[in-house]
Amino acid sequence: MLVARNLHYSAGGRQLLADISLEIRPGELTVIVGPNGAGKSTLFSCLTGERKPRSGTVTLNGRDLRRFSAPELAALRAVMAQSALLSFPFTVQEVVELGLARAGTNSARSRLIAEEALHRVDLAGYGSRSYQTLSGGERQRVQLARVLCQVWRPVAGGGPRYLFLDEPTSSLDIRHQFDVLEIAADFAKRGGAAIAILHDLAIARTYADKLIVLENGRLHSSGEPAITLKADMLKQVFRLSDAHLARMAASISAPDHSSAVATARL
Amino acid sequence: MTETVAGSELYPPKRPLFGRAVLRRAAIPFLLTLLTLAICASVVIGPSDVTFPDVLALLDASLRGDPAGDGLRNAVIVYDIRLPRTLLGCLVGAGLAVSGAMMQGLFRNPLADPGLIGVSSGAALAAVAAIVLAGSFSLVIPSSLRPHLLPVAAFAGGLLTTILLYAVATRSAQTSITAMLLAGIALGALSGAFTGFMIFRSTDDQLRDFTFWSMGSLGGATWREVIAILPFIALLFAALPFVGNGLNALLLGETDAYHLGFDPQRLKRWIIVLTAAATGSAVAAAGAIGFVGIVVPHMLRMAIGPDHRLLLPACALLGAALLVGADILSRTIVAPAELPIGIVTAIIGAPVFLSILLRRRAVFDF
Ligand SMILES: Nc1ncnc2c1ncn2[C@@H]1O[C@H](COP(=O)(O)OP(=O)(O)OP(=O)(O)O)[C@@H](O)[C@H]1O
Ligand SMILES: [Mg+2]
Repeated sequence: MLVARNLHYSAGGRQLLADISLEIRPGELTVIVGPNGAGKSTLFSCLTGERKPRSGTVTLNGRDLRRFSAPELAALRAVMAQSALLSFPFTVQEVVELGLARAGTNSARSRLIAEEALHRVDLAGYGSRSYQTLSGGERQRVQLARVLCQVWRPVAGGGPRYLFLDEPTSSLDIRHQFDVLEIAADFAKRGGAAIAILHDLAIARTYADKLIVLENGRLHSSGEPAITLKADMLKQVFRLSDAHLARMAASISAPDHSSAVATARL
Repeated sequence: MTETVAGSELYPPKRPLFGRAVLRRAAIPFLLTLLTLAICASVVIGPSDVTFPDVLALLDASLRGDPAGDGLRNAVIVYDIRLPRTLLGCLVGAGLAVSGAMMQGLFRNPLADPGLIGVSSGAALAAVAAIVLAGSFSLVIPSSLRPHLLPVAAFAGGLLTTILLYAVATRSAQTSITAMLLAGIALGALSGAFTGFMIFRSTDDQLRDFTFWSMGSLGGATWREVIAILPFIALLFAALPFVGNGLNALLLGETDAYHLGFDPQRLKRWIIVLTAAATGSAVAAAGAIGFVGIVVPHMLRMAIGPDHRLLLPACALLGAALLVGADILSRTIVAPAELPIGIVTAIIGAPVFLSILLRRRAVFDF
């Protein structure tokens, strides 16, 4: 279990996270939502050990996050960042195998896992392509394949592993958005913990076991999506007007609008 | 599935003669052969008339343990002149090429080369300063330490320059290559001026001329130079197995490298120290030889890709072969005179540098 207690974080003279406490349980897909600048990515970086909170504690499987070395953490959790850069012409296969760089996996097995991961993200056969010639959405799926490789088995060494995805669907078409959430949900079902930041509330509602709503660096609410996603919350946190809500409701009556279907019960 | 891969119509993928997998497997054996040929050529070719049969006869005689007569003169030429010169070329070339590849990985830019960003000129300045100061304080320094003074001073100079450049070019964890190249030009000009000044003022005949420090030469190489730089280059080689994976991960950015289980800060410190040591000692022994650190990694990356686990050892081999080859040219083109080797490497290197710019103007855009 990943437990954060009373996290505070500030940077550039601003308080970016204030008094955040939360629990992330293995077996669940936890989705974090909130407006731009609410602090979702910042919270991620505190939970993954990348940044040290000013105060508060994070424990991972019962042990203080600060006491993990970088390789120890890498064996336990994988992180897909909001944006990825790559400056030299790696092939897709090479990028994906970077996920296994610390695992000491032999090269034949690395290749197999990487190919399987590429297959999972619907990029089978792309291994020898140059990463830099891929489209934005294809690149995003390659990055997903890379982090999947890193925590290939959701449970290892008796403990659960963690999959952090920061807006993993931002460049994806609707079909691949569903695919990604299904991969994350499957990871959770097999005993790992999946944590995703999403902007699409309909998709969040469909797949999340637990929803965490951030507003202005504070935890607004958390819990089951059906309970958390209420009109009041949308108005307050996302500053939606009654007109916005009415339009959302109207789009639901068009039955072929797939993404809106799940919004129906908001 | 129909081929609807983005951009494939606009830019049909170039079908290389050999796939990357084939090239990767062939790289090390091929480069080893190339280096062996270069070493043989370098030992055989020279202004005096010691030819291949002579060298073979000499080897045969040495193995039997009785070089005599004509063999003695040949032995001096081969063992005391050509062999140290060739080995020095290998060490310097390998050190420069590997340092270049490491720095380019660290800064995620194919133009970050110790020669280009002023590390070599910083090292040269420190070396000249050390000679001048050692001349003034010659009593203080025990003679047994003197051979090591030059490489250590150059190492310190290279290290200081790298740290200074890094500090100038880095703002909130982002290193701007433009700032670094510009700062490198300024530092290079400054240390060039100081080096020139010191050489001009100094009457010390130990101080080699300005051409040596600005363009480099392997002429006058003895076993002493070879032994003086050996530990620094050996340190660089010893680190290769440990930094390859980390540099690969670093190409994804520092954050992702951390998430993959590497400590980017520690890696950065190590690479800065290792490349400064290799570049500094290379400069101390052979002057500031440019472009090796750019050309070699660039050519190899095009052939075998950017995977540092293979790229770094391949750079060592090709860098050594290239510099030994350039040295052969530098002492044969205008024989019996010698060209500074930096002229030869610049003639090969500058066009490659320009071609990187033409293809990838984006390397300046961050
Ligand atoms: N180093 C910093 N100095 C000052 N402000 C910062 C710093 N880092 C982040 N911020 C600010 O903190 C806030 C939260 O940033 P964060 O990246 O966590 O937002 P987010 O919730 O992930 O937003 P988005 O949905 O756009 O990805 C933003 O307003 C951002 O401008
Ligand atoms: Mg974000």
